[in-house]
Amino acid sequence: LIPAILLLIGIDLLGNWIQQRLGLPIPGALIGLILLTIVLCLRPQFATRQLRSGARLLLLGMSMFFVPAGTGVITELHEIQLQWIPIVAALCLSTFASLLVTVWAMQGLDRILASRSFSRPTAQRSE
Amino acid sequence: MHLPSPRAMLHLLGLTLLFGVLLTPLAYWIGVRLQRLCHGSPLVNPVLVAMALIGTLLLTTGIPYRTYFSGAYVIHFLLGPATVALAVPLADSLRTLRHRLPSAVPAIAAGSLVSAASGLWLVRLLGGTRAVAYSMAPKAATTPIAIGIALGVGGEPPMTAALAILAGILVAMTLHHLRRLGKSENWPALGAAAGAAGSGIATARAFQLSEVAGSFAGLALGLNGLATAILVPLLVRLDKLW
Repeated sequence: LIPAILLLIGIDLLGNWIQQRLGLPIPGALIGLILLTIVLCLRPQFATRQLRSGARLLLLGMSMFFVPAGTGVITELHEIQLQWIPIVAALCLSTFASLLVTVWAMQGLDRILASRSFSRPTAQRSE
Repeated sequence: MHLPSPRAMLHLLGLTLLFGVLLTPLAYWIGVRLQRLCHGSPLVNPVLVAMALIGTLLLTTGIPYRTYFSGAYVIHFLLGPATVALAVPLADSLRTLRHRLPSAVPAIAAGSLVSAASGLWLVRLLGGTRAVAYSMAPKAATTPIAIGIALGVGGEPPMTAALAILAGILVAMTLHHLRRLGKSENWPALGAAAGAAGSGIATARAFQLSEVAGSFAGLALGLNGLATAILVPLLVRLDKLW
């Protein structure tokens, strides 16, 4: 378990190092996430039981890890007080817009893909 | 003036660190218990409860946020490895949901674009400052990724963290009302939307509603984080040209 967590910390540090060296706008942890995803897609056997339990432990605690950063809003209460209308409106509207667009886009694409494979039976999946 | 001895100062420093380290899990644990008392209502989110408890404590006692954070940094640091750990379920869902990727990936990307662009421009349109707009833009990404993006584009990471959590709660609260959007219940599409618009908190809720929705939400969580990290810096550059 501990080697798995140390490995995940190491990948995070590697991602941060890459981000700083290349000056990328993408957070370092995300670079680490991409790297590990690529490795795991190419080599599924790399996801050992140890790595899985280490990852599960970190993901279980993840919500708690937000708390220190999130509590920082108390330093911005004044700004929120001044701008609460744009903040609340943008938060609600853009969240619902994103929900609806994703649902409709996926339903629409599913319908298009289904009708296409129906008209060309030879193109159907052969897995 | 009488200065405390080095040993006393070291003692004080240790206490400060311990305060931050212990306060966070304690407040979070109270949040978890409170949510259980409220029958798992998404409104009583443990993260939100913990933030409110610690925030109130700091504001009433006058302890600076920085003092708390210097101790709590140990916990904050784990966000990075936890984000990397998302690769394990993501790789799994990429493999098992392979045949649904042609419709899921473009739909999730569209959801990310709508969320980031509308978030940024609605704040600007309604008279908010750039700092708030850039904090709003990455809010649909999972919190650690959103914080990282906000930091990179000149937003305010704590505000982004709060907005990301609130967006997740918003989606979690409304997800089961959206079931009848299409002709029939479409769990894959609903799950993808939940992950794309509400990240972690909404993904947890999607798993409660349906296993299928949950796995699509997990896929969307990962892909949306990636899409948001690419899109937000571009949108911000566009906004600055204006």
